[in-house]
Amino acid sequence: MSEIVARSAWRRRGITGLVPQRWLPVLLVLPALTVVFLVIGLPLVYSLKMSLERLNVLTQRWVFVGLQNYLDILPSGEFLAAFGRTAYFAVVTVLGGLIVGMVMALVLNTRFAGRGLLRSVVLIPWAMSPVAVGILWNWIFNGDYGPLNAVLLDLHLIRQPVHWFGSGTLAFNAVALVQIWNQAPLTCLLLLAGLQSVPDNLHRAARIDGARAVQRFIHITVPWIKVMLLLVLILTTINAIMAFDLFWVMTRGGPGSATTVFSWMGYAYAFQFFQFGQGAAILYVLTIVCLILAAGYLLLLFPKAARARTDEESPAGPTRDHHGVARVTLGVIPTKHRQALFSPRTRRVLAAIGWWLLCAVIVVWSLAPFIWLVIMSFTPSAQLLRSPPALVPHSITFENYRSVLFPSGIGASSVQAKRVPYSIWNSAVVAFWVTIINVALGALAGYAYATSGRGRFMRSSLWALMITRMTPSLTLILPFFIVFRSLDLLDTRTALVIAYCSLILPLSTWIMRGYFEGMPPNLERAAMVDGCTRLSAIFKIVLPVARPGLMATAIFSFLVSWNEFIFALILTETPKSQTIPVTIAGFLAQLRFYDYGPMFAASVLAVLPPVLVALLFQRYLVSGMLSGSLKG
Amino acid sequence: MASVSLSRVRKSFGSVVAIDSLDIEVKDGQFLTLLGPSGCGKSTALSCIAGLETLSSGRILFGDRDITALEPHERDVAMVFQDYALYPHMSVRQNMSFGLRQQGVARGTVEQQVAAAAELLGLTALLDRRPVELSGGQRQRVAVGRAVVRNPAVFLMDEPLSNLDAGLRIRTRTEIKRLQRDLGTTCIFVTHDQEEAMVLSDLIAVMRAGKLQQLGPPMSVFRDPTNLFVASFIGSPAMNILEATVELADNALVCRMADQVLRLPPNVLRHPAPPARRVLFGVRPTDVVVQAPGDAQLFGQVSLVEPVGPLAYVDLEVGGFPLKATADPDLALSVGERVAVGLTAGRVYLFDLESENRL
Repeated sequence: MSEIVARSAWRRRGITGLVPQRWLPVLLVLPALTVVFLVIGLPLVYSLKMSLERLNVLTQRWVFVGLQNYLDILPSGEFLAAFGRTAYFAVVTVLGGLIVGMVMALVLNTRFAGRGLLRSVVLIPWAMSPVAVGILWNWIFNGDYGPLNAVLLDLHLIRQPVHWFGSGTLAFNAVALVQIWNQAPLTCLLLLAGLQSVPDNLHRAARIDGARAVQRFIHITVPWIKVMLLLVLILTTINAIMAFDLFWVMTRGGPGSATTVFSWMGYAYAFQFFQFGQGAAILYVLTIVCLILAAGYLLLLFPKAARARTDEESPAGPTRDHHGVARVTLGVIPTKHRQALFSPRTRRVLAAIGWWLLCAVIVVWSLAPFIWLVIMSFTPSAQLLRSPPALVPHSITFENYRSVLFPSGIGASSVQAKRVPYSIWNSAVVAFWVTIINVALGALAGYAYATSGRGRFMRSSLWALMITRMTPSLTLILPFFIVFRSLDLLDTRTALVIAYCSLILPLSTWIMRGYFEGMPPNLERAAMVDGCTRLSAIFKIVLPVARPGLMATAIFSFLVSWNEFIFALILTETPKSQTIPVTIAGFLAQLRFYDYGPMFAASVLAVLPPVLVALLFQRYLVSGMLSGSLKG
Repeated sequence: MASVSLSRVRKSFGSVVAIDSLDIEVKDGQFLTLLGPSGCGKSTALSCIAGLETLSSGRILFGDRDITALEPHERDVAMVFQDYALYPHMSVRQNMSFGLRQQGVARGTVEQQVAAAAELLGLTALLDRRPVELSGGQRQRVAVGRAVVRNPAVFLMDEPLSNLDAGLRIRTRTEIKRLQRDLGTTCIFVTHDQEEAMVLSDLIAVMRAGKLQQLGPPMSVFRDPTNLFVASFIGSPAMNILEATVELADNALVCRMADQVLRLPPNVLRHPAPPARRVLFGVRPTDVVVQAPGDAQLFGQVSLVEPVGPLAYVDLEVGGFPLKATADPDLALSVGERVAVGLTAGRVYLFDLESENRL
């Protein structure tokens, strides 16, 4: 007996005994907040400072110029044109992505055999890294050798090959289409999570009330998933405004300046013309635009905060005299019979046919380009460059894979192909550390926000965290570049790990917070009654129960870090630290015809891990999305 | 206003049969309760009547109108859901008028109708609130109001009281019964609570595993159960069921349970039974009274006393069998005491050991 007392007293004095209980939440969020401050807060301030300065090329000194950078740039025609293009790109891709994603989500929300399979297939385009996506579609659109022209020619829809990237308008819309293809699954995933939370009975009630499918969608579904829609709009808008990888791979701002959007312009100023000041100014304007848009969406969807006021039930219920006699008379409402074009049976058959067609279209849309990439990776380089283009290769070869996987084996590999194995290793190492760090810090902070997020410090720091998610990562690159250069961290994997935390940590905290909020609070109390300290309750009870949330966070961290391109492009220089997207992009920059086959083989190797992860764990993704976002 | 008749209704999901060959007749203005444990198919039956599920086979008639193939909104029904299914983004007024607007009813009529229904349910002051701003009981009334406003031919209610706390549930139960009487609308109500079913219904349909067990007025289901399932499902505390042997001797039914012998009038059996057979012997606790004369006597040892106010339930040990009886709560019974209990012979039920049907 006394031993038990002594032991529990010892336990109570454990780690948490050293600090007062009320400081525990702050302690838990501190690591995440510190990292976010260091990798987002400081760089933002630094780039603001840079946007107010200019580098004197002769003296290599920064000179304060006030708002001169902004004044030079803002009124220029070049700036306004880029602004217009960005706006157009955002509108087209956000609306297009919303429509495509919504259709997918509605189909996936119904119950049918093979739903899990279709859900996995739908995720493929999103799991692929944008660089690989760009390379794939570049080839599909290729005027001389691309399969798109091959199909259109075979169908006699066009007489001669179309040079899709020859015309500015065509090129721009092609990139927009690819952006939609790449981003729609994310929209679909978020909307699906929202749709799955709509109670069945709401739709049943509306059916009895006589609402048709379309009316139910407008009156029931849309209002219910409003929060999710807001999130989708904010995320896809920011992704559209920040879209860079696709432009880099597909058009490089051209032809002419036809596809020079904001982000490309900022990049070009800073890293091609080395006018850091102007570049920072452009990217800062981009940041502000993103924040304004996020606020705008918020106002649009939630014109006034709901008045949450619950009145206590009056003990007497309704007053008696309502019931003595039915004093009021209810009119008889005639039921309305709609004129139906078809009998119910025909209608059901037609609906089924339409629905399966839709499924088929979704499968082709999501899977066909990916399969094409795989086919090309098995095609000899010489056959890839054949005009007129053909859909099916004459022969297949494993030489492409051999040359990127075993460059020292029999046969020659190009310089670029030799870099592939090590860059995959780099990607894996970076993704590993990024995932570990972000899951750990995100879980601790998310837990603290979920369980004790009421204090002023906690509330405001959560808001700050969310706002950092709205900042375009491009803005952070300049300061990262300069700081890492002075710390001698350029061209190291450490630099990438640090930089990627800025992309992922706010999101992982958010997802974990949502997950913990959905957990019954009594679980932890029960553990504490059973003799755990708060901290040991977290490790023994809370974390194991939250495994699906941790999985979702880990998957996100892995996908983002594995697929990231622009940070890696700018912060690395040599194969020593280059990740696989950079290496693939390197193939493109060299443009050697004998390297096309290996390039596609490398692309397949690059997309395989994230695609497999997404396919195997898609269930966690949906639940992670649901818990992470709805409770916003 | 309409009568409802289900004939040979069957609903299966894949290989799982949820309802099998269901035949039910409800007269116009009657209150029918579908009663049974969870998973017995009662909610599925209600969904079929609402048109939310299509039948695998069978027909449903409202009056003489065959509605089997009609869409839910063409059937002239209104439904109250267990979770109320109030549209969360609409005010009470919008919730109540949504259905009417979907049916294309003129604005003026909608307003009149909503005002009338709100008056009837005491919701007038709450019309501009949203569901989140209402208490559980208020939400429940809005859900009923949304059904009433349509003035439908048939009300369908799917466990509408189960989310209320005990006291409110009993008050609301009374309100629903009164409302249904006043409006005179046919009502089909689903519940797993036998007391709710007894209090509310004109007719109770007891269901089990998709099959109808018994259909009848509450007291006839209570007093005259057709099988062991109905007998033990209805009534609280549940009926005592003991294994026994019976045989006819000297113009009496001799019933042996362990060391006890009971002599009962032979009319306890509904049908003449073959002599000497093993049966299940059922008697409700309320028909076994401690220290009462009764038609027959049993002797047992008190193991637990539970006073509930007007009476006390007493757990007895009768020849190795547990038996629940009732007693005057003022009787000072102590645990371990040996007592005599009196049975009412007419309230004894015998069931076949295998088929569990009433003998």
